[in-house]
Amino acid sequence: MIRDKKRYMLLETTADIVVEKEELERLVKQAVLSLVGQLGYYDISPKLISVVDKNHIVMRCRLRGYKRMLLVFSLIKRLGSMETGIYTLKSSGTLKALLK
Amino acid sequence: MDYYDLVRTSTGMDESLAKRLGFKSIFVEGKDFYFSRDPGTANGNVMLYSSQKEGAGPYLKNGIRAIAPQDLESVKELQKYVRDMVDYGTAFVIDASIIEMAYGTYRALLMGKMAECTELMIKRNVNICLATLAKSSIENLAAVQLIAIGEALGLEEDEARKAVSSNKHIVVGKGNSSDKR
Repeated sequence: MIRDKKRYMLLETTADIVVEKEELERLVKQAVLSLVGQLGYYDISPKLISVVDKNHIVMRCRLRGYKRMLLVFSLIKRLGSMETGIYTLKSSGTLKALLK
Repeated sequence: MDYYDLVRTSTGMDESLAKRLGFKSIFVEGKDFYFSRDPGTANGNVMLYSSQKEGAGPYLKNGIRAIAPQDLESVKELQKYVRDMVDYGTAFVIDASIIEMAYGTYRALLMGKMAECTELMIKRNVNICLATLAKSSIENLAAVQLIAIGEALGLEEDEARKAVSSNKHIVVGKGNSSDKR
């Protein structure tokens, strides 16, 4: 079985994250879906891996959707009621290298 | 390759933010470069071209350094001035913040027209710069995100990288200008 390559991204939000991890994941996925549509969403397959602190999160996407994911995070300016910009600080193929 | 960004406000901008976002430096309007308010102040400055303003002709004649269209109509209009931009050596600035802050169908139309305009600029060998021109921290982007926007507008990856790195010598007017188009 061929496994899909993944890309892990460390993101910084301009606003403090005040919602639970599950709620945040739902909001990010909803924002991605509204920007890329159902077909693009499959290529990206975003997943929230962890909330590092109140301004930093780690997300995962498929390697083939990485470029589109960067674009999506540039265009997201609101997550639910939270007005925020999202900066992509770092990205890596492994979680270990990302958090080093 | 070193990347540089251009912003409209220095609020929240510091060296550590520039480093985190992957830029060597972030240049601020009013300090490192200036916007032209009228054709009389055009020489060496940047024109924010919006549909409410008069045509770009007088600004081009007075030596404007670069033009950054601000809305859909001005992007359409700017295509008429490409020949003049080539003659006067004026650069085209892609303002990422107008794409970031647009929404829905308007954003789709804006990106389509911007891609069309970018293609024309590349074809005519006009210098292209890519910057956020952010008005607040929400509009700031990392260098990789800016490059992704450039690629979405039809630039090749190396062209997008070059557009982000040429902000310094084309708009701010510092550094080596030998690698201009």
